[in-house]
Amino acid sequence: MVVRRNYLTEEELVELIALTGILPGPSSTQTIVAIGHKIGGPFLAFDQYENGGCCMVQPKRECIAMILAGGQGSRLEILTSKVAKPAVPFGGKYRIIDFSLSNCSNSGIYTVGVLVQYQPLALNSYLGIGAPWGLDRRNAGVTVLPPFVRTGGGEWYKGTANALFQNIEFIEMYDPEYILVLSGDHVYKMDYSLMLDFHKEQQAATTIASIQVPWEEASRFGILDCSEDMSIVEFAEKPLEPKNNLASMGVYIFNWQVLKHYLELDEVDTSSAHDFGRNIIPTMLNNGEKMSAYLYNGYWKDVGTLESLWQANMDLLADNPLLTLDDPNWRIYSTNPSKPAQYIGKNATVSESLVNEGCYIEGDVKHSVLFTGVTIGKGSKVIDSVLMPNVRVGNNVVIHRSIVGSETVIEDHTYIGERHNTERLTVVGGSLTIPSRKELIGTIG
Amino acid sequence: MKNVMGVINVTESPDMFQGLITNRTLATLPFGGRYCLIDFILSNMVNSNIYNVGIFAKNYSRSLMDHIGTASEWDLNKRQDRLFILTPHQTTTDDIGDAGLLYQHLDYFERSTQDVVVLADSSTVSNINFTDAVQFHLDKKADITVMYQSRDVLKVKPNCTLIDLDANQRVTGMEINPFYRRSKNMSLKIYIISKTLLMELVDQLVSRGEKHIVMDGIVKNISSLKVYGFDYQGYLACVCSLQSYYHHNMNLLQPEVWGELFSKPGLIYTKFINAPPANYRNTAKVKNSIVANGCVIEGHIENCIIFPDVKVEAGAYVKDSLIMHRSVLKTGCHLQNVILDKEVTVTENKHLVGDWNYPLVVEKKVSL
Repeated sequence: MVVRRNYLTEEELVELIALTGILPGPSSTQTIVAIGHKIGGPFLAFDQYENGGCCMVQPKRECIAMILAGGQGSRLEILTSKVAKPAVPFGGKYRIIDFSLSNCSNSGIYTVGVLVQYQPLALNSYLGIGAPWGLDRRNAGVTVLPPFVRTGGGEWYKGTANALFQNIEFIEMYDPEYILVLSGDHVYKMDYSLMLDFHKEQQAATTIASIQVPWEEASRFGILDCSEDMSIVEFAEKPLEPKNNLASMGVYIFNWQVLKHYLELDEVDTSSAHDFGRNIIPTMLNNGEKMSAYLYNGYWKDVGTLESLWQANMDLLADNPLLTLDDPNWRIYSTNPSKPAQYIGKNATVSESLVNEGCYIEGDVKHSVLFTGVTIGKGSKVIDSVLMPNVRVGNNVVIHRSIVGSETVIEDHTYIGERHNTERLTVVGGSLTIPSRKELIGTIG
Repeated sequence: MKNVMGVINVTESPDMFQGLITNRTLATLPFGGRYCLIDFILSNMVNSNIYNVGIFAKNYSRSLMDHIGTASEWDLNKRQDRLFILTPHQTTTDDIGDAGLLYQHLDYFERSTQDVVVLADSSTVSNINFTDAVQFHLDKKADITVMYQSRDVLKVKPNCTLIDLDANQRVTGMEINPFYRRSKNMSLKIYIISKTLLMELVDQLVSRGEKHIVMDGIVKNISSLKVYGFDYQGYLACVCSLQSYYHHNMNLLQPEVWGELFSKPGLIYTKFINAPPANYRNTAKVKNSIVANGCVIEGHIENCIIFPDVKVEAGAYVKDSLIMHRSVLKTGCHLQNVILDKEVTVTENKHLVGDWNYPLVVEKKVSL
């Protein structure tokens, strides 16, 4: 970009980068600040630094993020009957989308569009102006993008690619160089600025973040086949006989102009499902665009099924969890429910558990995750379970290997979960009242 | 309550707290696991729809500024009305008193659109809605209304203000910090007063060389002013000494007290700490305690208030204690009736024991 736009010679750039390298922030910021200094003097440089280094002319952004949060999440069944999947609570105080939003904010990407469609109310009110994630900014911020009606009619988002196509106007408003496409239902911590650096280094049109998965699970993912320099040779969506175990994480960086071209082509293709994995990526690959795989090492989990949602919560309870929530350099942000610190009663026992503020516990809790405002009565036992916000558990209740949805009331002497089967998960929907002396297993909604 | 503004006086720094308030104001003394004392009065004001609040502080206090931040947690960062922190124009060693400080900021009162002021300090811990008291004040056409609570226990407490009332709720006498207790009506140190009268009072006091609004302005004029008492019935804790601070914290472990403060309508707001949920490991034994987020508990805790980000290692035993933010208790240590200020480290096998009436205070950042 620097050479093409002829702002600086390469020599000058190296010198200036060495100087601006003392500024904290991604290297892209430093480059832009360097260019700003050459062209506009210290004031422009300072301005650009303050604005995250992403603008040539206000409000140009180097990279903006689009989070796909429109999915119904039908595999989460009753948990998503009232909220979209990204708004499902996770990890005692978070919602799934907190991870993508916090990653954006921590990576210095402050312009985020969230594409919503299904049950957007909870998600809209949760996102607000983006303040909890530090995204309430003057010339950036979080924007909720539902499908809308325009002259000549409007339509639902037909697929992930179509969702972006319908928001070309929003994206062009920021005139970005690159666009980061994320999915709102993955739990992981990732520095996208490093991926962007890699993308620029590779001079790729597209970079796909990838992670090594166990071979036996490889057929559940989109599998990337790469050459030695991490260029993608082949992409196979859920192959029956995977050639590789490098799975796509559903995190993409595109050169915006290239992507825009393919979005426009895809839109007129009537046979297309308008999906990134199934249409856009294979077409780009067939047309010989340079595509690279960025290797990510760390904890990453798709929490799209009830079993994986439960498992990901349980993963946090390990002695040395792979996903740490207390890393001061990579905070996961969430809203503030303004609840008092939790109270653990005289005869309560709590072990191997995560318990959030506002909880009032008088029973026994073992190996469980308790969200804000959960109350547990005397003589009750909660084992291997996830209790979502404001669940009220009466006295002498047993909850075993279950997920209980928000605001549900479980009255005295109830047994939830299977007594003997240690494999099956029981799920209770939100805002229910489970009357006394019931014994429930399976899915209750 | 659109016509009511709040004034919180945090200039007082009582000397009965050992090392706890040497580097902070009483207002920012941590309380109840995640709060500071000022959160209660500030939240009470906001929950009573008072959105113009002035905090009068003796100096620029980092702990106060840091805690309040932009006041967004209390919704006091709006364009129309908001929170103001007002400090003396010049730092002098002379004590100008609260009257002198308000006098320097008469402009603030002039510019405020409200006519009634709720004047309070930060020592009361309660969940009060001021709507009824303000209505009482207006109905009685009082000059000043003092909120009080009658208590049968005639135990002398330090730093108390007591009032005498006639049958009409009119205040006939007022005593500040008496040694012997002659009345059972304890003032909440919350006064409702019209803005113009407050400004006049402050002007008169300063021009006569007097310093204290309550002592010189109200007590001395008790017969000429129409002062009424409003009986507050709900839960109330006055933090006026180290003992009462310690005991009122411990009282939160009683479900009735916890309920009075936190289960009634009106949340108590505080500075947001972005900490993960508390993590109880498999060796944890926790009984009758309040635990804040960010803590990692491996040891044995009984009757304690644990503030955010505290680590209690396996084999540590803590009883009847307040452990403030980011403290670390190592294996084998034994603590009883102790108040640990922030960031204290207690190393292996240390024994610290205080008394219920005389808790042992360990100052900030000490490593034992």
